[in-house]
Amino acid sequence: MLLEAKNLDVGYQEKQVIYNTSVHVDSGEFVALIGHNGAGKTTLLKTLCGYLKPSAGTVIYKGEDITAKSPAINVKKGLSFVHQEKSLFPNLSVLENLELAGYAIGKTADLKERLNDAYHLFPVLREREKQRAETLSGGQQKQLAVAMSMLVRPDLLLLDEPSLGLSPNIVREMGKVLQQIQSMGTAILLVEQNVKMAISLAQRIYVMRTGQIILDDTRENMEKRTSLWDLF
Amino acid sequence: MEYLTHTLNLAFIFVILTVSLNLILGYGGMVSMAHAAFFCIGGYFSAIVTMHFGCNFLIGIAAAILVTAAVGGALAAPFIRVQEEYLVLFTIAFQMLVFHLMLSLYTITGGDSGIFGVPGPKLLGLAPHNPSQFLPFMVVFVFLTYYVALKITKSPFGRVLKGIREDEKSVISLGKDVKKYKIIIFMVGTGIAAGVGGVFAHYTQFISPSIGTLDESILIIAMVVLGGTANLWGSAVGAFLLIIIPEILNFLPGASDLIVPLRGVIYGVLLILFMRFRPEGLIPEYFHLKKSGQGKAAAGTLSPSASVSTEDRSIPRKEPARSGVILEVKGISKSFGGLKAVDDFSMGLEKSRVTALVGPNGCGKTTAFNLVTGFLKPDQGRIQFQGKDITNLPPYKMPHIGIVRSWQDVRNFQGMTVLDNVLIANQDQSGERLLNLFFMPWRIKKEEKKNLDKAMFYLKQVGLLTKRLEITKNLSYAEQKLLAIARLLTTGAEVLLLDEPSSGVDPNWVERFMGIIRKLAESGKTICIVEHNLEVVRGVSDTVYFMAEGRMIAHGSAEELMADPKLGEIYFGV
Repeated sequence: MLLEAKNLDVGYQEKQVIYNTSVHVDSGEFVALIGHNGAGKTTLLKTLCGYLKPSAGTVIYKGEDITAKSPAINVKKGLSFVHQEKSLFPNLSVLENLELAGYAIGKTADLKERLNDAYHLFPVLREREKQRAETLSGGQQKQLAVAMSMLVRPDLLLLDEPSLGLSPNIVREMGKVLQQIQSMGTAILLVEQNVKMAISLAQRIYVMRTGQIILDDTRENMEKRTSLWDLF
Repeated sequence: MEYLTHTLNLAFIFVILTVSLNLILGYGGMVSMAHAAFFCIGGYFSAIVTMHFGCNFLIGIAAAILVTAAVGGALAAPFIRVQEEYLVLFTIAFQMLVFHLMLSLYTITGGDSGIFGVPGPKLLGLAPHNPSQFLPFMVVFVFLTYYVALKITKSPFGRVLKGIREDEKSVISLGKDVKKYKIIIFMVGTGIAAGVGGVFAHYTQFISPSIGTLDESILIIAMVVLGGTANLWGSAVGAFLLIIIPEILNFLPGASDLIVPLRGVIYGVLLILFMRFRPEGLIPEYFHLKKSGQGKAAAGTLSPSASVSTEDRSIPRKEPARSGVILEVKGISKSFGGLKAVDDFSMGLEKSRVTALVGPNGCGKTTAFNLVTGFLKPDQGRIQFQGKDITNLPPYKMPHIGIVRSWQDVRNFQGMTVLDNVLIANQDQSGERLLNLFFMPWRIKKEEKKNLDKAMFYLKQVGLLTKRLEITKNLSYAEQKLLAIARLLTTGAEVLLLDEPSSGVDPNWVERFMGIIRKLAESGKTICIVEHNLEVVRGVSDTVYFMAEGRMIAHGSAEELMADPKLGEIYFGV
């Protein structure tokens, strides 16, 4: 197992959001996490990569206990996170944003190669290399955010609702890119509001409701379901 | 000896100033940098009135209080509704303006020389000539100030102020006109400052602009902070320390050369240190209330027998079988810039039914909620309640007509006790009007007893009676949500709009909350919930409105909607 979280309890001051939750992701696996708003999906992702400290439970990554370790350290170990909110530097250019993202890998000769990989995933970014990030469209900004997180060549990529606010065809494009990323060897844990899309991309799906995982099933079984309503 | 008594008198004057600013700052939550200006205005006004009309100093002081309070109210009114920062800036500007006016209107104020020969105090044949003889007068004034301040702060009015300090929106949603309270306490604080300004003028028989500088205003703020905001006894401590200590230091050889110029620096440094390390002051507000040894109470410790019957004995039982739409939303729209968040949305809430509002993320549910409850004004459309148009009704009036809302982030007053949180929810309390407080105290006492019984009743219903004296922030999240429900029930409103009532609650408790919602409807309440958790929607709602992109897409029972493939596409994507 690449990532294993066991018996997590997470909350914000008085409010507990996640109750005794366990999830895992295997190397190269594509896992989706779906559930209603407020179920705790974002909280779970943030706990996995170190933004939040659980009051109970552990997070093990590549055999090492990384519970509550700083996200910056985890990035260097190959655990990348794409936030739901915009996490770009709006006044910097696309290239500058990418170079800043490369900060985590330090001075390395293959930065150019990694930039090329990023442009290969998202050709539109090469075209708009010199453009200020805030002038990109919503979809392009999301693509830049994913590209930035890919610069460290992560073994595991966590994504929080990348399709939020995007038009259906951009969402489809994003889906194709994620599949490409998986084929490059990166495991993916995707939180998505577009449930159908998530099911079509992932090999395995977690369903979360009021802070607990209520289902862990394969894509095949999920696709056979007649109704998704009872999961929400 | 006389010098010491004089220092004592000065200390008492600053105690009064500090208490009066504490009312504005500690209780009202308004940072006023102009307190010394009002002190100064009061002093000048009383001096001029007594010298011009030859009247008794008490009349001069009374006139100063009334006029300055009116000025304070007129000045505060336009600024109360804006952000705090603007009020601070405005008071700084006003402070400087007053100071310069006192300097420049020398025909009235004597300019920087001030006014000499202000008539001394005279009462019933007594005319104190020295500080020791004036001391008893000073003590009486301090006593009067504390009497007024304590009466206000320990009243239902004071309770609302405490709520305002913590969370204005929450207070509004409980039916209180926050602006009015802030203006009134500002007037009270400035009035008292003016009164003691008059006292100062008649005591020293001299008044000059030097008492009305920005430095003096900052000194008074330092006294409030040092003593503890919202702790009136702390104000005495703060005032005494900052008056007595420099005087004591003056006795040190060579000190006066150093202390006097450095005074401002010392006060500033003290202020910074306290705000950084001890913002609650030397004496915190709840010093007298022992912190409960239970600490964080888990949801499971609530009484298992907390059954929730929500019969409201104070209101005649409504016929549960009667139905019909009582709250109608007709074609409301709201845009924010280019984004149409709610687009021609219509909905009807049926009496004694639970209506759910669902939809994918960002579809406009919360905006629709805010529009219906008056926190936002619709660009188009109408909202009617029992046949009356309430489209433009301000949010604080909603509970009065019978509509209340809860908040996704709960918004209980964390620094107040559980009981106070519920007591504040009672509508139309006579103790919230200052005149009643001072002229009809017996009526208030009677009403408070009734309010207390009502509060205890609802706390018992939700199972929080044993925790009524607990400070709210020590409650678990589920308990906070139960308290929020108790508050809403106490308002007596018949329509309850609940924003994600089950969110963040322990999964084991979701069923209990569902039971509560159902029982509320059965007892006659009309409920509307915004919910993401469809299990809750399926379990409690009689009818569901499905929203997407700001519009109402479908309406029917939960089963009907979930059988519709088109809605499935919208909710789950393609």
